Amino acid sequence: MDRMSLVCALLVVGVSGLVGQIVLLREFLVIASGNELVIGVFLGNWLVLEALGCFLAGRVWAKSARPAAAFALCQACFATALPVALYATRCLRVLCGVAPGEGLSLAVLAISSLALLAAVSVPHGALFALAGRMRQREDSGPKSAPDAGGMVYGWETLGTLAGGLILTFWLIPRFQSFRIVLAVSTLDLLFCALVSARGKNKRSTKSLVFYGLGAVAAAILAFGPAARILHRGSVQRQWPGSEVVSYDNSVYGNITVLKSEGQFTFLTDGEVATTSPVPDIESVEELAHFALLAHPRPEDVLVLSGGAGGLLREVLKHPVRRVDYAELDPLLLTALARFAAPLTEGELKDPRVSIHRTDGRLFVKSSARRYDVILLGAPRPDNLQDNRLLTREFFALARTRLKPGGLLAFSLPGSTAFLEPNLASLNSCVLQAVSGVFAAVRPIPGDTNIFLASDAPGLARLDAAPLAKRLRERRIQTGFVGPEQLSLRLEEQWTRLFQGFLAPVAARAGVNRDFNPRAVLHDLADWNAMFSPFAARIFSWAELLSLPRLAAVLATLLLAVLAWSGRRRRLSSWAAPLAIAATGFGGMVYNMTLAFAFQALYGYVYLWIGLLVSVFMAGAAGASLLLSYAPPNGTDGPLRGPSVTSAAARRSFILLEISLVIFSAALPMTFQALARSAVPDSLMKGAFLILGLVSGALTGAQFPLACRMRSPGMAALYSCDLLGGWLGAVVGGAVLLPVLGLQNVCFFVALLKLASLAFCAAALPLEERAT
Amino acid sequence: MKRRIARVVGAAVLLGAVLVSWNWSAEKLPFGHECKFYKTLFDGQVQCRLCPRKCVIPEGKRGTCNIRQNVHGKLYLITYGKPCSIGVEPIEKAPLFHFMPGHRRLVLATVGCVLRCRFCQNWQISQAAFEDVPHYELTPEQVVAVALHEKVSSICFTFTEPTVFYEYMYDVAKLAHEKGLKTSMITSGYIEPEPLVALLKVLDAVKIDLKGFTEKFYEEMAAADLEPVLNAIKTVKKSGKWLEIVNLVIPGQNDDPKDMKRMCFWLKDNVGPDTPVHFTRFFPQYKLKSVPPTPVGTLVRAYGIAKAAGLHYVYVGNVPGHPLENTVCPHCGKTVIERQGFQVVKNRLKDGRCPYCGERLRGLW
Repeated sequence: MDRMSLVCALLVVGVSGLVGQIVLLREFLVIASGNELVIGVFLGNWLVLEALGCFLAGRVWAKSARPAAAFALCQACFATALPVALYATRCLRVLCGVAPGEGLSLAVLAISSLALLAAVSVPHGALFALAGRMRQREDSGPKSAPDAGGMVYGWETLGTLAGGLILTFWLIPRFQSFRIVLAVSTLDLLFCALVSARGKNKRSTKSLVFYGLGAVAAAILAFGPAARILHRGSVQRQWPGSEVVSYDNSVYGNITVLKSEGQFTFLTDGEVATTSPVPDIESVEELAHFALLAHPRPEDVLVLSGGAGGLLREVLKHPVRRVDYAELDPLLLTALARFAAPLTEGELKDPRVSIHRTDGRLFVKSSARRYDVILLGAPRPDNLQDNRLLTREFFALARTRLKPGGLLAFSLPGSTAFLEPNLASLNSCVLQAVSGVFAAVRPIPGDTNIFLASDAPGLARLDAAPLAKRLRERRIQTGFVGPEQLSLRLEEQWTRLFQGFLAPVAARAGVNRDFNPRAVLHDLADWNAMFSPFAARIFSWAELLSLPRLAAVLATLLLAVLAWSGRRRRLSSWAAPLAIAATGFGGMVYNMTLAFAFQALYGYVYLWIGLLVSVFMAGAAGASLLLSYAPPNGTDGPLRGPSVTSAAARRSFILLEISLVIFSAALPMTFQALARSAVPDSLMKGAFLILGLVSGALTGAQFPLACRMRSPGMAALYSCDLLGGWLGAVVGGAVLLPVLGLQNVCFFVALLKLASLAFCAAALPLEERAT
Repeated sequence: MKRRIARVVGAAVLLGAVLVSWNWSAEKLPFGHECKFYKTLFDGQVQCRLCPRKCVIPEGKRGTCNIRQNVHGKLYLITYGKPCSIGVEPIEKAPLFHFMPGHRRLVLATVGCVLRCRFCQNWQISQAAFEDVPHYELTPEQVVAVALHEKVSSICFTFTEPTVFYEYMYDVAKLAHEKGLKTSMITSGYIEPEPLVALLKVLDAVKIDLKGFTEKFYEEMAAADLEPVLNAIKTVKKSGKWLEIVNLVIPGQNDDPKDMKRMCFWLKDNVGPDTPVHFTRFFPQYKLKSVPPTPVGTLVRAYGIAKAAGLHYVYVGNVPGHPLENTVCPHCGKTVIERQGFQVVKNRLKDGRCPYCGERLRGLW
C-alpha cells in the first residue's frame, strides 16, 4: 500500500475508533447510571482489549506477507461488531437478567463491558500493529524502519483528534447513535474495499466485492429507515412496561423520557431526574420551604440545577420577586417543554423566572447579581462535575453572591434509622466544607438531610415556630410541609442522632474541595457498598493510600527490579516499554486533571472541554509525527528532531523522561497559581490550552523515540501505552484522583516517571556503539 | 537454604496468626440471648424454626438473617439488647392509619433481615453485619423507660425485619404492656405460625408488607416465597389483633391490574373488607436506582380495584396532599380524618364513629 493510502487508512482507523468508543461509552453510562468508576472501567477495558489486539496481531502477523489483507479483515470485523455491540449495550439489563432500572454491580459491569467490547476493540487494536507492518513493508532498508511506529501512532492519533471533533460538534447534536455507528461501519468497509482493490489477484477481487457489498449494506442501514427501527427497538427493550417517548443525546449526556399512566419520567444518563405532573413532593417541598421560610423576606432567589419539576413551583409559592434558574443541559429543558404538564409549564413560564442555559457555577462566577436565597438542586455528587457545587471554593464564591442575611441551602442523602459510614462521610466532608465558609450552618437531619448556611446570626437557633408563622402569613399551601412537620424535623433528637453518625467519621471524611473531591470518593464508596461489597473493601483499603506510602511502594518495586535485573542483562529491552506504560498512565491522568481543573475553575463548558482534549491529542500527534519524519541522517535545527541513531534516541528519551517528571510536579502548582491569579479569564483559558498542548506533546513524543530503541517491538510498545492508559483510567481516574486529590495524583505521576527514569538510566547506557 | 527456611517459617507464623485471630474473633463475639424456636441436630448443628427458611446452621455460623448464631449447639440472638436505631416518630409514618392516629411512637430496630429485597429502604442496617453497625446497649427495661420518658403512646418494632430479633422484641413488648404502652410491628410477615401466635399475645397491631401477589415477584425481588406471608396475614387476622396491609407498587414489577385484583379479592375473602390496605408510591431506592417512581395514576387505579373488590379502607401513600390519604367513612363517604404527610390535620371521629352518620369505623382509635 502506498504511503498516502496508508495515511488515509490510519486517519479512518483513528476516527472510527474514537467515534465507536465514545458512542458505546455514552450508551454504557445510561445503562450503568454512570459514575467515575464506571467510566474508568469502560475506558480501561477498551484500552486493555486494544492492547490485546495489538499484541496478538504483532505475534500472529509479525512476518505476514499480506498485512493489507489482514488489515482489511480486522477493519471489517470492527465495522460489523460495532453496531451489534451498540444493540447489546442497550439490551444489557435484559442480557444480564436484571429488572429494568435495576443497578448493576461492578463485577457485572466490568465483565459485561469486556464481553461487549471484545469483538470491537480487539480487531481495532490489531489495526495498529498491521498498519506498522504495512509501513515497514513499504520502505526498504533498516534506516527508515524506526519511523513506522511513530508515523502510525501520529497519524492514528490525528485521526482520533478528528474523530473527537467531528463527533462532538457535528454528529452527536444531529444524529442518533445507530446512524452514527452504521455510518462509521460504512466508511470502514469502504476502506476495506479500497485496500482490497490494491491487490492484483483473484483473492483481492473477491475481497473487494465482499467488502464493497458490505459497505453498500451498511450504507442502506445507516441512511435508511433501519437505523431508526434499530434505535427505537433497542431503546424500548430497556423499558418494557413504559413507553419511551424520547431518547436524545446532547453533548452533556442522555435525556430519556418515559411515559406511563399519565406520568412523564425524565432520566439523565439513566438516573431519574424528575417526574411530572407529580414530583417527589416530600423532597421538593422540604428543600424549598425550609430555605425560604428561614429567610424573613426572600425576594431574589437563585436555583442551580434540578429546579424544574417541582422545586421552582414551591419557590414561587413564596412572595419572591425574581428567580434565576441555571440548568446546564438545554436538552432537559427542551424535553420538559415538549412533554409539558401543568406543573412544569407553570413554573417555567412564570414571568418571575429567568432561565439560564449554562453551568451553574459559571453563572455564579459571571453574574454580579446578589440573592436572598441560593438553592442547590443538584443530585448527589457521584461524579466530578456535580461535585463542583459542593466544595469549599464554590461555597466561598456563592457567599459573595448573597445579600446580607442571605442563605444557601442544599440537600444530601440521609436516614433516620442509620446513616451508613460512607454516607455519613459524604455529609461530613460537605458540612466541613460549608462550615469553613459561613458563620452558621444548620443541618436539618432526616431521610434527606437539608443544610442551611448563612452569616446571619439567628440561623443556629432556628426554631419551628417562626417558620410556621411565616408559612401561615405567606398563605402557602403545601401537601407535606405543615407546622407539625416543620416541628418534627427540627427536633433535637435528630440533630443528636446526626451528630452521633458524623462524629466517628469526621477525621476520615476530610473537607470537600475542588482539587480534592472527597465527596465523590465517599459517594463511590456508598455505591460500592450497595452493589459491590468486594469493591467496597478494596475502596476502604484505597482510602488508606497516601503519597508517602505510594512513594515507598514505588521505591521498593524499583529496588527489587533493579536488584533482580542485575543478574539479567536483557532487561534493557524493557526499559522503553515500562517508560511508555508509565507515560500512558501519566497521559491519561494529565487529560483528566486538565479537564477536571478547568471545570472546577471555569465551569462545565463543553466547547472548552472538547478543545482541551483536542489540543492534547493534537500535541501528541504533532510531536509523534515530527519526530517520526526526522530525516535519517538527522541534522540539528529547531524544526527537525534529534539524530536518529540509537544512542541519540536514548539520550533524547531520558531527557524526555526528565521533562515529564518536571511537568508532572509543576502541573498542580500551575493550577493553583491560575486559581489565585487575577489575570483575565481568556488568558487563563489560553494557559490551559497551552498546558494541554505541552502535556500531549510530551506524551506523544516518547513513542517514536522508543521505537528507535531496543524493545520487544512496536506492537508491544503500543500495548504498553494502552495498558498504561488503562491503569490511568481505572486506577488513576476512579480511585487515585478522589482519594489523593488533584495535587497528589500529579505528584504520584511525577514519582512514577521518576521511577521509570531511574530504571531507564540504570538499564540503558547513555553511550552505545553505533549500529 | 537459610532464606528458604526463613520463608517457610514466616509463612507458617502468618498462617497461624490468621487462624488464631479468626477463631478468636468467632469466639469473642457476644453470645447474646438464647433463642426460643430452634432445634439442635445430632451433629452439633442447629435448625432455626423462626422463619420459613428454617436455616440449618453449623457451629459458629449464623442464619440467613445474620444475627442468630450457633454457639456450641445452641442458637443465640446476638443483637439482644443491642438496637442500632431508636427514635420517636408519628405513627402515620408506619403507615398505620387506624391505630392511634396522631399519636407518637418509639421506633426500635436491630440489624438483620431474612429477606433480600432489591428495593429496601433500610438496606444499610437490614443487610449489614452486626459488627459493621454501631449499636446502643439497651435492656428491655431501659427501652420501656425511654418510651415512658418520651411520653409516647406505643413502641413500634420496625426499619429492618423485627421478627429476626424476636426474643428482644417479645421481652420489650411484654414489659411495655405491663407499663400501659401499646405495641406494634412493621413486618414482611416472613415468620412461622407458632412463633407468630406467641408474639401476637404481646402485640396490639401489625402492619404487613404484602410486597406482591406472585411467587415470581417474591422470588426475583425479595428472594423469598409468597405463601408464608399469606399465612401470616391470616394468622394475625385470626388473633384479633389490629392488621393493616401495605403494598409498595413498583412500576413494571407488581403493578399488573390482574394481580392486584386477585390480591384485593384474596384480602377481602381472608381478612375481611375492614382491613385497611395502603398502595404506596415507590421512589428509586437501593438496587432499583433507575426505576421510575410509581405514576399516581397507577395508585389511583389500584384504589379503584380495591374498592370494586369491596374493601372499605383503601389508601394511596407517599403522595402527600393526595385526598386518598384521608380516612373516609365507608358508609356516608365523608372525610373523617384529614392528613397532611405524616400529620393528622383533623380527626373528626367521635369514639371511633363517623360524626355524620354514626357508622363505627374499624380500628384502635
